[in-house]
Amino acid sequence: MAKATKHIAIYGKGGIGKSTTTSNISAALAEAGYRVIQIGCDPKSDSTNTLRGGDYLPTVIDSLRDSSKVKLQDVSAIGFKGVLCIEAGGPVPGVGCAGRGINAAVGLLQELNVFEEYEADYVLYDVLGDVVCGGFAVPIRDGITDRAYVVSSSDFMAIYAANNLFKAIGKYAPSGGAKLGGIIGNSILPGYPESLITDFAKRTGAAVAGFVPRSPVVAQSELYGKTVIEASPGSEQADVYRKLAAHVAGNENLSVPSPLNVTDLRDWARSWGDAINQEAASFSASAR
Amino acid sequence: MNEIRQRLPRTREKRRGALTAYYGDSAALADELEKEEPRQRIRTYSETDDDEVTFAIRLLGRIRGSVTIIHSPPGCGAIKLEDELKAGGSPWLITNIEENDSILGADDKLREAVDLAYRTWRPEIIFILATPVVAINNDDIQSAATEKEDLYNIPVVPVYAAGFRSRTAVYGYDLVFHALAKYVLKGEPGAPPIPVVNLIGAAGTRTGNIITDLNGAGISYNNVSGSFSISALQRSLGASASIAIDKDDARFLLEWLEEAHSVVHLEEIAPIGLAGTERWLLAAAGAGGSTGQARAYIEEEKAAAEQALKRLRLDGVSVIVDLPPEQAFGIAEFVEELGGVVAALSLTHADSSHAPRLREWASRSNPQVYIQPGQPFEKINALGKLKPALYIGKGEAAVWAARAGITAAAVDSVDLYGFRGVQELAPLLAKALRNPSLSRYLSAGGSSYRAGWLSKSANWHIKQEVK
Repeated sequence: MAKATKHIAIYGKGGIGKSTTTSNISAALAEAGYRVIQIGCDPKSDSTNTLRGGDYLPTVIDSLRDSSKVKLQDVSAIGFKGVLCIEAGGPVPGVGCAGRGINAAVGLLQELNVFEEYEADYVLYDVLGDVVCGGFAVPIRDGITDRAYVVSSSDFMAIYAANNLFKAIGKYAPSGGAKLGGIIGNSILPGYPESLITDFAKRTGAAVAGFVPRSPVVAQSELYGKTVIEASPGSEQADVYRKLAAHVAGNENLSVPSPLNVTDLRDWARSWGDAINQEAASFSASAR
Repeated sequence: MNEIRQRLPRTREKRRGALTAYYGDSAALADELEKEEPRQRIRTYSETDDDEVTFAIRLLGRIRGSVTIIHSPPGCGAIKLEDELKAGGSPWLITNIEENDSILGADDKLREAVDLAYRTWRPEIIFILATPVVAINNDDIQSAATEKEDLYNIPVVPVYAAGFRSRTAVYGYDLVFHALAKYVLKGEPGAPPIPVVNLIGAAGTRTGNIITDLNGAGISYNNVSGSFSISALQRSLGASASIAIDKDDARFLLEWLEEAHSVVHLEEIAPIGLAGTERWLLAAAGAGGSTGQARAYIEEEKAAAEQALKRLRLDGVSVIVDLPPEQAFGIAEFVEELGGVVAALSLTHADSSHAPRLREWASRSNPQVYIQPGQPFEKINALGKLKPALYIGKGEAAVWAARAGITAAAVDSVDLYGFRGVQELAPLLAKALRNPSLSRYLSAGGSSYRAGWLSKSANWHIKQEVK
C-alpha cells in the first residue's frame, strides 16, 4: 500500500525567510528519520541551496527546455540527510511567465510519479512571495497540497501578504484546495511582535504554528551554505526549528481563515501602531 | 494623434463608445450612442465570432510585399489558412508557440522566424502579429523587431493584437493601421498636396466596381484598398483628401491622415445603391479634380442602372439587413430605393460615428436594430419573431436564416459598390425571392435550438453592465 504523503505549501511575503524556514523544517524532519522532498517554486531557484551546499542543480524548467524526456535524476539532488531537492525554476528575469512555469513543473513532477517513487513522508513546496497569480497558486489548488503555512514577521506588509494568501486559501479550499495550517512568526524580536501576530491570527481565525526568534545563528549558518540544523545542531535556534517541524508534521488542525478587508486591516494596524507608541512612552517614563 | 506615441490604439469602446450587444429601435440606439459614455451591455451567453486577431490577420494578408509572422500557437494559423483560402494574400509564417515557449519566452523562435522570412521572400516589410498567448506572457516582440530591422534594413513592425482587448473585431484593423502609422509612415510627404484622392479600403472591401466608376468619372486616386502596397500608403500622405469604401473599417487611418498630415477625410457613406454611389463619386470628384466629367458619367450610369432596376423591384418586401454597419446602412438605403421595407438592421457593432445614420433611420421608419456579431441564437430568434420576407447578410449567417425558413441572400461574393454593384446586388435579391425552395427545404430539418430557447426574447442574454 502506498505511503500517505503529506504535501505542505509554505507561502509568505518576499524576503520574509520562507526558504530559510522551509529548509530548516525539511532538515529537522529528515534528521528525525522522515523521507522529505523540498520543491522550490521560484524562478530564482535558491530554495534548497542550504540543503545541498549550494551545488548547481538543473531546474525542472531548464530540463524541459533541453529535453522532452526528463528523468527525476536530471532535476533533483540529494541534500542533507537524504532530503530530495528539486527546483522548479523559470524563465530568465524579464521574459516569459514564471507562473506558468510553476504550473508546468508541478505537472511534470506528478507525471514522473516522484512522490510515490521516492516514498516521501513529506513534500514541502517553498513558493515565491505572495500569491502573485494563478500559476503560483498551483500548489494550493487542485488537491496538490492539503495544507499551507504562511511565514510572516510583525511588519505590516508581511501581515498584508498573509492576509492576501488567506483570500487565495478561501477561494480554493471549498473545491479541494489547501487549508491553512497556521502562521509561522519569523524573525521575532522581543516585545510586541508575538502579540501582534497572535492577535492577527485570532482576528482571522488562523492558528499560530510557532515563532522563530531573530538570531545571528541563522545568518551565520547561511554564510556557511548550510541550514541551522546542519551547521549548529546543538544551538537553541536548531531546537526552535525542530519544535516547529514537529508541529508542522503532526498538526491536523487545519482551517479556512477569514481575511480582513482592506479597511479593517488598516484600522487593525493603526490600533497596533497606537499600542506600540503607548508602550514606548511608558517605557521612557519608567526609565526616567 | 497622441496615440501614435502609445504602443496600442485605444479600443473602439474607449474611443467611440462602441457597443457589441444591443436590442432596440434606431431612435433609442441613436440616443444611447450620443451619450458621452454609452452604457455597455454584456452577453451572459455568447457564441463564437471573429476577434481583433482575425481582422488583423486579414488586413496584413492584403499588404503587398509583406510577410506576416504570426507569433502564436498553431491555432491562429487555422484562421490564417481560412483567410488565405478565401482571399489569397501575402506570405506568412507561424512560430508555433508551445508550452515551454509560453514559460521561457519565445523571442528566440521569433528571431529565427524573421530570419527565415527574410531569407525566403526578401520582403519590403515584415509584420510580427502578437496573439493571446503572447499578450498574456508579455513576450518581448519589440526588441526582436528593432534588432532585425537594423540587420535587414527593412521595417519590421510589431502589431500588438491580443484577441481580448476589444469586443469589436474591427479593432484589429485599427491595430494594423496604428502600427503602420507609428513605424512606417514616419516621413513627411515633402511635396505640396497633389489633387488625388486616397481610395481607402480594408480587408473585406471589394474594389473592382468602384475603381471602374472612379476611372469612368475621371477621378485621380491613390489606391490604398483591396491588395495595396507600402508605397501606395506612403503616397497617401501627399494626397489632397481621403475617401473610404467603408469608412468604419478604415477609420483609424482616415483620422490619422487628417490629424497628422492634413489629408482631409471625406466623410461619405459607402458607395452602395444609386444615391449612395452618386454622393460618394461627387465627393471624390471634388477632391480628385473632375466634377464636370464625374457628373456626366454619373448621369449616364445612373440612367442605365435605373433601366435595369425596373424589373427588379422589392415593392413592399420586408427585409432584414445583417452586415457590418456601413454595408448595412448602404444596402438598407438601396432596399428602400427598390421599394422594399427595412424591418430591422442587424449590425456587428455600432458607435458614436453611426449615431447620425441611426437618427436618419429613426426619422424614416425607425427600424429595429440588433447588435449581434455572430450570435446565431439571437439572429434565429429575432428572425422568428420578425418574420421578414428577405434576409440579406453574409453566407455563414444566411445559412441560419434559411434554416429558419426565411428567404436569404448572401452578399459575400458580390462586389456591392458603385453602379455595377447595384446591377449585381439587385438581381441577387430578386433571384432569392423567386426561389424560396432552398429555405423551405432547409427549414424542414427543424431548428438547432429547442422551442424553450426560442420562446425567450431575442435579447434574453443581453444585460446592462452595472457599475
